Amino acid sequence: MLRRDWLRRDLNTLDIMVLARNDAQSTYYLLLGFIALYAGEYTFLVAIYAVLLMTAIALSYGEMGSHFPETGGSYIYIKYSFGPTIGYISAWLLALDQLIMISYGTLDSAIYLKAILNMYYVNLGVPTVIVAAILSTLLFTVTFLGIRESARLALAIATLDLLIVLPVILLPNVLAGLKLEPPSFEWEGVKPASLLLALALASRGFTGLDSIGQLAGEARSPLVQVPRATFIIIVLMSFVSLSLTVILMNRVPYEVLSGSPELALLLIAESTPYVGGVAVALVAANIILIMLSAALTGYVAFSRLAYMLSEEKLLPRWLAVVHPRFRTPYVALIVAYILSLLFIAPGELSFIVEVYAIASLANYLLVSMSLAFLERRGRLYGGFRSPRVLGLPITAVMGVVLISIGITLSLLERYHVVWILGPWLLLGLLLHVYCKSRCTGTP
Amino acid sequence: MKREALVLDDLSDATVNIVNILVENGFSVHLITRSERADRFLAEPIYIHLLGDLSTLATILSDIDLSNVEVALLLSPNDEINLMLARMLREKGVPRVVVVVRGSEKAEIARELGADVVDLSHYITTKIQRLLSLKFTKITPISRGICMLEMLITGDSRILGATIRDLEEKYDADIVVIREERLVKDPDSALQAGDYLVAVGPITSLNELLKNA
Repeated sequence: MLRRDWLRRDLNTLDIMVLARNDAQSTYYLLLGFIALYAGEYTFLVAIYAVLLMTAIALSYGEMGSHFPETGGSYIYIKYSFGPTIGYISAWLLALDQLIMISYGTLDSAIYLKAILNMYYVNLGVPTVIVAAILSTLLFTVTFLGIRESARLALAIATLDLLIVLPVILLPNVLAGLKLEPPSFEWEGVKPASLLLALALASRGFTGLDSIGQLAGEARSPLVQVPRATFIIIVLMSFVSLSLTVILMNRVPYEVLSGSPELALLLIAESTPYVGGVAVALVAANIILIMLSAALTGYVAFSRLAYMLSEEKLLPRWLAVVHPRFRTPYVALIVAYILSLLFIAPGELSFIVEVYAIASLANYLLVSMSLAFLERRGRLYGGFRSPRVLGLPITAVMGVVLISIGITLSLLERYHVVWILGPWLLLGLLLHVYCKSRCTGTP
Repeated sequence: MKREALVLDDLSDATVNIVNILVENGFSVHLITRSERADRFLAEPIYIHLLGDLSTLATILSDIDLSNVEVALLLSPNDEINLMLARMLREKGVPRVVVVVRGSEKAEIARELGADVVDLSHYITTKIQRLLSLKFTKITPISRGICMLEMLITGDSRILGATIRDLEEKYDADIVVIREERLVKDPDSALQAGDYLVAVGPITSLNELLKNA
């Protein structure tokens, strides 16, 4: 019997790039104000640290991704070097961040949407959680319909984002003249409130890059497309993020920022010469869309990870069922949708937000370590091979060093919330034990 | 559902085509190839395992979760490597192993291992016969005593001039003729030198036809 129960290979390099980039870039957009609030005159240096860390993570994923053509991302990378159990635990922890991204991406979009409509005296008259649930439903529908449809939406949002950030924000600021005196620019003498906190936040500034590995199973030529997409992401995100940081430190007085750091991008738009009013509306719309796009990538990444773990018989087999027409793992998507609604229902819970990205960092560290072990473990060939230092890939060395620093900083600052990962991990281990004997057969 | 295939490169375009076909059919493919050929496969969504000396085969097999491998295609131009790998894969429980060999002796060894055999020497012989219009016959079993006879009609054939109807009635078989790349089914068509005859029927009838041809 002819079967069509595998994922459709429909993504090109641009599709992979926008899906992963939107997710990671949205995190920096939201954290920039807080990083600046705590780093003061050292904000630019902290931003450089964030960009270096992002580069190390992206290169590790790029090099690993150039060897593995399947979906599953970090799970299959870590499994290859350290075995399925560590791979599973790592993937399970990462899945929590993906779920948080879906729920809080839609929730934050809803909050922004209502706030902007209020600015124009429009009251939706609907609770925020309901708006978030509607947005989550829309995203679920798009991801259900196909990976190509999801990529097209992400591409449209990424294009709009760059059209707003580059010509509307960056160009007028450059034309009006910026004080190019790093590292403090116009913030000389602004004492950092907490450099440790700023660095800890910066360590999590580009969370979401891992989705690039989940997309390999739907890429036409993953061994070359994944590293190419990675390089474009590094260039684009470094340029946009550092540019916005420079503009922030030139145009927005620290005192103004400290009043509402969550609105850093809007403050930049407001202070942009020539286009201030228009820019605010555009940036506000952009924030909503980029958050939605991040949530969209969360849907894609979570469902593909669940699909792969199910294929590996580590989660119940029905999670690997693929829709015969749309060729998407629709049961895993339905589970992601239901879980997103459960997370959205109580509104934003600060303790969940605080734990966000810690598990991702641990996952990224394991991916970098896996890369170091890749050649010692076997003879897999890939499309991207970084230079070697003492026989180890330089990307892996960079990754292990920088991500270890990031984890240490995050733990120093967030040690009191790490326990939240405990119940999630316990649930994962119970499922693992259950599946060892029961998750067999075909989906 | 996850389906995996293992392919041992034959160092020709055939492997590229076969890998493409497997991917199109939803297989996750593990290709074992030489480092100088690896770049050629980078555009394919497959695992590429580099083969060094023979000792690396065991390392490569330990990298692959063979419990998911449905089929292994051992296409290498080296029969010994194909047979060695076939033995290892059958021992590790790979359900279907297809081995390319050259010659009936190797083919027999492969069959004893429980592998499906593609005997290249047979295909080369057949192709040369067709190219040079040499006398050629082949009987392929289809099902339960029903077979297919393929025969090139040469100038000295005893059935030259007989019609398709004559042969069908005499030998209880369904017959078509391929003449200059056209299919001839008209029962009143007479056989000519150079015709490629295809007959389907009971083995005894086909043997009879062959004997009198």
